[in-house]
Amino acid sequence: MTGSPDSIRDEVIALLPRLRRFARLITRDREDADDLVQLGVERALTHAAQWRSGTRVDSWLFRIMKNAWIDEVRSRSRRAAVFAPEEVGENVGVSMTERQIDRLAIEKAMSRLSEEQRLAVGLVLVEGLPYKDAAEALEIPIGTLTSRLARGREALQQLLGGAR
Amino acid sequence: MNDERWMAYVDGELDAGERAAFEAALAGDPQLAQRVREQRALRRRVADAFTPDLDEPVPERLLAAARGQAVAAEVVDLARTREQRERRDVGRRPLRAVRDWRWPEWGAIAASVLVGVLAGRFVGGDVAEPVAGLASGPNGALVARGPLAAALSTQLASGQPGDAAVRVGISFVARSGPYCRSFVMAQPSRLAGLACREGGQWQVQLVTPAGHDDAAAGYRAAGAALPAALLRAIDERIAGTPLDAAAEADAARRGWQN
Repeated sequence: MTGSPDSIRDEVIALLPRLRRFARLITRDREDADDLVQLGVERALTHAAQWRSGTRVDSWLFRIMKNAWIDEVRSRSRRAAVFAPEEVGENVGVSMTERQIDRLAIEKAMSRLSEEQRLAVGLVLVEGLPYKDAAEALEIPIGTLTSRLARGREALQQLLGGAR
Repeated sequence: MNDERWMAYVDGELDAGERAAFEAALAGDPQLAQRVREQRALRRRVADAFTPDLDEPVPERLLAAARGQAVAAEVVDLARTREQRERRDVGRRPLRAVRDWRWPEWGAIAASVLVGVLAGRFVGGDVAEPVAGLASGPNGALVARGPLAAALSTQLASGQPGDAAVRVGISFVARSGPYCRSFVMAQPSRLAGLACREGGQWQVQLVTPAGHDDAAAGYRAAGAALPAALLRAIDERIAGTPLDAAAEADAARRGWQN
């Protein structure tokens, strides 16, 4: 990785599908997610000089997106309105394939995690980042990351365990 | 054995020596082994669930942003992106009253609030019937009219014409009793919604933007692409599972009365 603007750009383009996936986990709304990706990408390119050569471009972008979400996007997201909490163990049977049904169950379980836990689970379990990179993206110590991860996992296991 | 140990093992964070030691401990601890199995399965299951997202086509606006073509060297803020989108959409919306709708902000508002707001707009607006198919009912609730009502009453999910103005999605019995059906309509803009049959009318519970055309195409193929707000609205109401084709046809024959 050279860190020149062009090479960063190529890497960002290649990362777009993963950035969208992560943004959906954060925002839980597909349109908000794409808005957040766009904002994150534009910020990243504007501040490309701040990217430290030798570090991962993905966790750097995840961090920019996390900050954009917390600082400004969250407050005007479509999700800002409050829904009644969903019941646990409710019957899910909306979509056609088993995989889609399971996806729905998992999204629902994820929606019951705290935002901090969801971000930790998203970066480590879904994005597959090592603890060190996930902690850097979230700007927290590794111990904080692992305790959020442990609590998030415990909740997911309780909500989803045995369903399969 | 504390949490951090098994977790680090499951997440591949241990070095070779630590791993060997952990596996030795695992052999003599069935409870721990069980936990590791569960957590491995959970990790795989969660990761698999979100993998299909990676295959979705990336919208052009994001590719342009990554190429630095969008608004060169300038940070675009979200509100402006949204305004631009709305401006772009105005031409496609025929009625002046409709132009003032800010669907993005409404997409996730609780159904009752949304219905109230909509009804207020309709009553106070300068257009008698601002949107084909939606009208405020006597008690201020939103009810389906015209083509939307007709589609909800008669159209079956299987065998809908590809160019139908309204497409009906899933039908189910709500926990509170009535039949409910989800729908997508193309005019005045792409909207998805949920209506339930109560008091001889289709009471609209929720309407939300159905997203871009590519997402809409995906909607027909994949339930996962339904707007999240709609999925949640369904999820909150559904008793059991959606009606199958036979039960749907049967309910339609009985006029959606149970």
